[in-house]
Amino acid sequence: MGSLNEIVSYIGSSGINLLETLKFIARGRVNIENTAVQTVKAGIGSLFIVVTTQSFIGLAMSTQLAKEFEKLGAEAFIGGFIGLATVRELAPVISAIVVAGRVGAAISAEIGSMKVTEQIDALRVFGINPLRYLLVPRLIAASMVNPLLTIIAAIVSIMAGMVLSNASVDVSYSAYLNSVRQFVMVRDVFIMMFKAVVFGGAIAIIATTTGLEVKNGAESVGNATTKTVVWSIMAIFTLNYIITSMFF
Amino acid sequence: MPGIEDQQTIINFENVDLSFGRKKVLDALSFKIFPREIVTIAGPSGSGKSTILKLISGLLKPDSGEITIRAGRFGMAFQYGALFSSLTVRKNISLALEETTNFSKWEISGRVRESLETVKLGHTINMCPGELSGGMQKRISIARALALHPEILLYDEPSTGLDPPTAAKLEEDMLRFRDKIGLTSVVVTHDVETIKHVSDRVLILDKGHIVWQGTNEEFTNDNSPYPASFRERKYVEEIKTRQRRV
Ligand SMILES: Nc1ncnc2c1ncn2[C@@H]1O[C@H](COP(=O)(O)OP(=O)(O)O)[C@@H](O)[C@H]1O
Ligand SMILES: [Mg+2]
Repeated sequence: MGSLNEIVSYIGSSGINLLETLKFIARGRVNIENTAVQTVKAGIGSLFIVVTTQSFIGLAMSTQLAKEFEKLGAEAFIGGFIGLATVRELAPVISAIVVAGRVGAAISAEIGSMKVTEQIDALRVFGINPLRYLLVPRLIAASMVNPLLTIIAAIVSIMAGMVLSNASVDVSYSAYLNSVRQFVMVRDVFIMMFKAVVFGGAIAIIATTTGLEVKNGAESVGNATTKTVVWSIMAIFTLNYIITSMFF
Repeated sequence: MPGIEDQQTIINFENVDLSFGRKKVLDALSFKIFPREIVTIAGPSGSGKSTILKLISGLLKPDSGEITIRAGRFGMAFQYGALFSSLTVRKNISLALEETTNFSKWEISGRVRESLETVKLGHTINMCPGELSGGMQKRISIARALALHPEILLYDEPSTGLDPPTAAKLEEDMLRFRDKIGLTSVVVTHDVETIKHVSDRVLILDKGHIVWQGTNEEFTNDNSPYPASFRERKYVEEIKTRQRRV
């Protein structure tokens, strides 16, 4: 992963890129067309993976819980339990990991190869700030797409749990959903969305910063995508803990 | 102490030093370029030619020394085109105008057509860079720079990787830009044919500074070691074999 020095300077340049980007956004210097393209690209690329991973997580969780809760005669709480675990932790974290692997890696590869082929230099020679042109749309796209995917993830996971609980321990759909409603508060959903916005933004920043740091050579474009995924996952877990401990 | 000559320069480098890490690439580099001339900076691979263009265009800052540019806009024709690979030819050319000027859609599309016609590639307007040959990409890169109506055009190895007829055509274009629109051109190259074909003046770069300079005629006729060895391509070949051995 490199020396402590490198890590500190990497976090520093990510932070600077974030501030620069927020300045452009605050001044309304946003390319709508680009942002729309990036949003669609990120969403379509990740949707299938998010739905697949989350349905299996819902299924696995309810497989575990149904049997245990049945022994305790607590089948009525299965929905609430799965709902809370999903909304508070699993949906935002797992979706963000999918987005890091799918969208973050793609952003890094794209921007890294733009760097190697002097396209970034070309932007700068023409007076186009690469952060404004490349990072602003991707930051906005990731911060919008990730919450959407996270909501879909939560719904899919809870539904998968519902179907399996019904099949294995005969909890009715309405009892399951009532339990979800009883335990999962609107506040939980808002915090989930907040996490998703932060994670999406972090992924875009990390991916772009890493891409722009690529030096010549195809090998380092490959390294950049790996680095993006690793750093994004570490950022997701760290930020998740920080946000969780802020609100709960 | 700006003298008369000094006031006429469009680009002036004075004692410019630049290192990458511990490697000193430019060492007390000084040269002057005047309006409307085509100057080639010749030097072997790795001698710092692209670095000089990056200093002129502001992509790099010198460690020390003085760089003075008396021009508004400049364009850069990149060695491998550096076309934006996800954008069409049209968008490649219009992007900078859309992002940095208040020109209307009409004006911009006029500029796109005009500059594509200049390099005779009007038919590629809706194509993507991936569909074009290397030579075409380089010429689009020039069109992209011309669309900004620059006062200075920087060329990085314009003929490298092109077959001789294509290179010759491109060099004709470079001369035409000087004669028709009074463009100042800085051409970095290690190709002797290009040097002889386009240069008003030639600067030879070695060990971080200019070791010889003169007019095209002097470059062709001077029998002192630098231009002579360069002309006979010995210089370039020597460097190549040296590199191969490493
Ligand atoms: N960004 C950079 N970081 C480190 N070294 C560089 C960088 N750019 C160029 N160099 C080195 O500086 C020297 C000159 O490079 P360059 O200007 O590209 O040479 P030329 O264009 O004449 O072939 C080379 O040895 C190259 O490896
Ligand atoms: Mg070069």
